[in-house]
Amino acid sequence: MLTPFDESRPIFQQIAERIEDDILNGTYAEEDQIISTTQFARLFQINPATIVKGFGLLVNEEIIYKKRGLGMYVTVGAKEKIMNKRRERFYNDLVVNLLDEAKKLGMSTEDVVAMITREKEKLDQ
Amino acid sequence: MNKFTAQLQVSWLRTKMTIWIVLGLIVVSFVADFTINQMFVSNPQQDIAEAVGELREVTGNNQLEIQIPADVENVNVSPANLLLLLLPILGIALPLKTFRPMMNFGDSRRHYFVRLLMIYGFVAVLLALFNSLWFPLDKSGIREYVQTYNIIEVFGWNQFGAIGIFFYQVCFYFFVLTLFNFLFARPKSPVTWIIWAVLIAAIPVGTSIAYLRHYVAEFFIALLFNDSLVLGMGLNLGLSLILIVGAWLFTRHRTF
Amino acid sequence: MNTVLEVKNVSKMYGRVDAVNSLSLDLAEHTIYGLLGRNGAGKTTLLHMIAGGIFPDSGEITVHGKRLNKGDVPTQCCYVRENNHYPKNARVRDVLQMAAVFYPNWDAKLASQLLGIFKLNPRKKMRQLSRGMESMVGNMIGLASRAPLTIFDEPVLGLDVLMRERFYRALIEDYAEYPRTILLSTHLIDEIATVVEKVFIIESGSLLMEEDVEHIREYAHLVSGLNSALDEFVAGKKVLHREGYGNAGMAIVYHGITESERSQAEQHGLMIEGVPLQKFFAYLIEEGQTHE
Repeated sequence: MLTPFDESRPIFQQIAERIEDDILNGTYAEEDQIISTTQFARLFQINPATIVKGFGLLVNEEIIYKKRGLGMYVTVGAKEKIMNKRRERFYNDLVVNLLDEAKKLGMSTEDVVAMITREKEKLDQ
Repeated sequence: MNKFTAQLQVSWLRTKMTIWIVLGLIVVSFVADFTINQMFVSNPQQDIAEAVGELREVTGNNQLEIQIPADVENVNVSPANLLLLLLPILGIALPLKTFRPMMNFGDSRRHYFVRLLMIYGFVAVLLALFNSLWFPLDKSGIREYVQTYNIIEVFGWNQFGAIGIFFYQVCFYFFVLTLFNFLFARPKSPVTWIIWAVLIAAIPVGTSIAYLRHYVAEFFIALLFNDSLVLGMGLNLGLSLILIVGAWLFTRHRTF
Repeated sequence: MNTVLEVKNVSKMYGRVDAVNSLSLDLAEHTIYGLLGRNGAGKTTLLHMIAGGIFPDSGEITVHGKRLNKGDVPTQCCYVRENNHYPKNARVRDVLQMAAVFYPNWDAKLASQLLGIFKLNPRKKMRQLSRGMESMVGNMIGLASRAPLTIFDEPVLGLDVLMRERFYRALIEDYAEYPRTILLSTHLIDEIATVVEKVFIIESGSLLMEEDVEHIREYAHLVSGLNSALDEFVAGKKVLHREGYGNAGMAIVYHGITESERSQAEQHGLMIEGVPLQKFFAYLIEEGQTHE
């Protein structure tokens, strides 16, 4: 079935991440209404209950909130919250793993920093 | 459309091929009779006399005699009676071919069965009406060209008048439908097979033992040749009722 | 939540073969369920009993709070059989008209929309349709019936990928607006993986597992690495399958894994991945068999 989701991971988490991505990239501004459960279900052929669960995750983190009878809206400060969360994850998942791997390969922290600087310069040119 | 017309439509769809074939055969046989009778104007008494004469010559037995009643002339079944072939055909085909489609629509066994009986009633009335209207035609028009007899005369129902003719037929036709329906209400059951076996065995036994033969004859006389309209109808309907109860016992637990 | 269907210790024998063996399951309202199992696992026998076509040897079936006695057919239930029995010489249009009178929630507008979506010519006779399109007529009836309990047995068999997609899309769309209880029976789990909320996995007439699909996705892992580290990691966890090659091996683990467990395992050189549902399902059934 055509779905942009990885079927070996819980889909509700991926739904939450997708909405977060949309908030980060500006698809939804603060106080914007997000896609409805029904629309989302229709778009990706996903059980509405799974979507409700994914949205629930975001409601708990106060990234979105429910306006009774209207739908889900992006909370003021949601973008900041997501960025903080992602920065933390960036540190845990990427930086820590990066240094672990570097250690296995006998690279010093300076070597790693030098590599990052070099790559950054290349990108900026 | 309602549930009854839906079941009627399913019944029609599942049996229309057979019905058309029966109608086609009747028309063909009627046309054949008609043309043959037109070509050879025959006289049964004369035909038999000629046949006997030939037989005497062949066998050399001059005492040989075949007697037939003086008024024999109606040698063909009325086409309206041939239509009665539909009674056993529908009595067998409807339970066999409409149960699954109806269950497939989520219908309950009880409702299916009640509507099936309504359809039988409908068929009995339709055929009785047709034959009642055809009978005068047989007598007045058709017999000038084709020699026919109608079961209305055979069973002596014409003694009851037009209304009586109609009602006796309805009851008898309904009985025939419910009889076959009973025999095919649950074809996959051992009880049904036992009933078939008993019935098949009963025919030769009932007709070969003189003592029983007497009762069998009495039974059929009461059922078909009854001189009382009310008793005849009552017997037919009473037997139908028993057969309906039996068929319901089969249908109520019939599996898909 | 209200229970729509309750199956309690139901058994059915065919001769001396257990088709369904003391099986119990409950369906709640407003949920889409999957009934998974290989061909011959007893799915159709179970569904036939629920729809009142055949009768259990023992056990109870209750639909919408009403116990089914022998010979009863559940009300407010639409069962779309794998091999439907609509008259072959009926036109698609006639079949829909007939079906309409048997389902009180029937939506004629939806039915005519679906004709377009599924590219079905209403003037065609049933016998002129391909195997797949014939079953699509049944699927249409299942959707348009809007029955509070709708059961589909292998609904997409014989359909091409495009039509399968269209069917599941139509199902989700209509369900989102008119929630009801839907049971999808199939041996192809991938097709329904995102559509169903909960699955019942049956094998040899018995229930192997009953779980939320999201929970399975959360719990099912493929762990691989050195056997020594793997042994330590899987201790006390449910392992569905284990395979070795030299010093290393892999295990299908069905257990929650916390963040700390995960990073610890990765420290020990173990790789942890998710398992696609179809794979998980295959391993589960294989394990179920070896335990017999």
